[in-house]
Amino acid sequence: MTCSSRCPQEFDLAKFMDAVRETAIEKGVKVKDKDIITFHKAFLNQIKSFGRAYEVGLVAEYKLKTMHLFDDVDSSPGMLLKGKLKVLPHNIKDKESVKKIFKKTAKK
Amino acid sequence: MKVGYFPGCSQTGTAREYDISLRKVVENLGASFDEVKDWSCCGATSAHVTNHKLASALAMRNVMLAEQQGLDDMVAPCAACYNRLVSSQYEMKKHPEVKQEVESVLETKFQKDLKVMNLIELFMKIGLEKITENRKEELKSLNVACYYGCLLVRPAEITKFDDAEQPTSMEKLVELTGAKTVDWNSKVECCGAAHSIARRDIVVELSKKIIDDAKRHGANVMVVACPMCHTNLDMRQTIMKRVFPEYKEFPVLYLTELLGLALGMDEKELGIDLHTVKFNYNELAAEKATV
Repeated sequence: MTCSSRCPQEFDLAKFMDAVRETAIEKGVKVKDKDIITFHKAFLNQIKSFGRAYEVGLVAEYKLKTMHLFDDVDSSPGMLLKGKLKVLPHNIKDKESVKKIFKKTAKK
Repeated sequence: MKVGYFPGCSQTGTAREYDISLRKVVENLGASFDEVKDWSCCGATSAHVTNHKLASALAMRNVMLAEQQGLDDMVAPCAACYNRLVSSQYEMKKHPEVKQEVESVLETKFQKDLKVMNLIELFMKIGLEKITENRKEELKSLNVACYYGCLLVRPAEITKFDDAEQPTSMEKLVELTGAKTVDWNSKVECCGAAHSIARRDIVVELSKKIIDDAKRHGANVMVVACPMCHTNLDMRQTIMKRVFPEYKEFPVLYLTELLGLALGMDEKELGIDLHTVKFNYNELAAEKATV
């Protein structure tokens, strides 16, 4: 947001970058740093399944896909003990309505 | 006073102390929450950087539910959720085709113009005088660096709140607790946001710069209003300590925790003991008195 709000020409660079990324994904452009897109996909998969973010599922999927298996092994046990990471996902009642949003906005 | 509440996913897990302290403070000030029933994720960063239609529809599902519940306004305490919600509303207002698209995905018509508030706007609505009236403790020993991050006040044309470069609304709130605020340079710099997992190196570098700047300007605590910023600025200090052996820990509190302390609640009640960097007001005050 910093670049967008500071641009003297009022050009919304942040939004422009979003559009470029979206187009790149659509066209299947190969990226050097795959971890970021893997993270976003894993995050959205949790939302599609449960309606809300599910950190344990997100991290598990992200780690398996990127093979960064041992990142954050120091902070995760503490977060579990503090109740900050829930072992089970937070399911919303009307999960179908969220699945439908994903279906209706999916790229052809 | 009843206010709509959209907690957002972090409030149920990684930032549960933000939810705990927020609910306690709001109740203490004589207001109550009407939580949006069956709310879902706002889509967060991952939706808006990959699929703009999905991003708008996920955010607006929650506005739709709030409107159907009869709410006129709701607070989104997470600066990132707040930003997604107000940005989606703005896009719909500005572009009729976006409105049509979102309405068709959600199979609804948006009639009302529900006001989404950030944390500071919530306290303005409740009334700043309530904080002064109910204050039990004067937090005189604190020099606070108020951190807004990039999502609370930006983009100005969308949030229509405070100043995008030199905001001061949080300072006004914090000073009601008797604490002092410091003038510093990094209050709207980015902490690295959603790169916390995939690019920890970026997050550690940006967040450390912010903390170093707060320290340099004489702050002994930082106050934030976003769970994502808090994770980066508090939890990632474990890595800062590992990478920079001379690094000294620095406490980062949620604004609601600071208000809770001023209203007479203790650290445990407010969930401050769930942070990575320990904070105890009395210990800090005693330490400061001996220096």
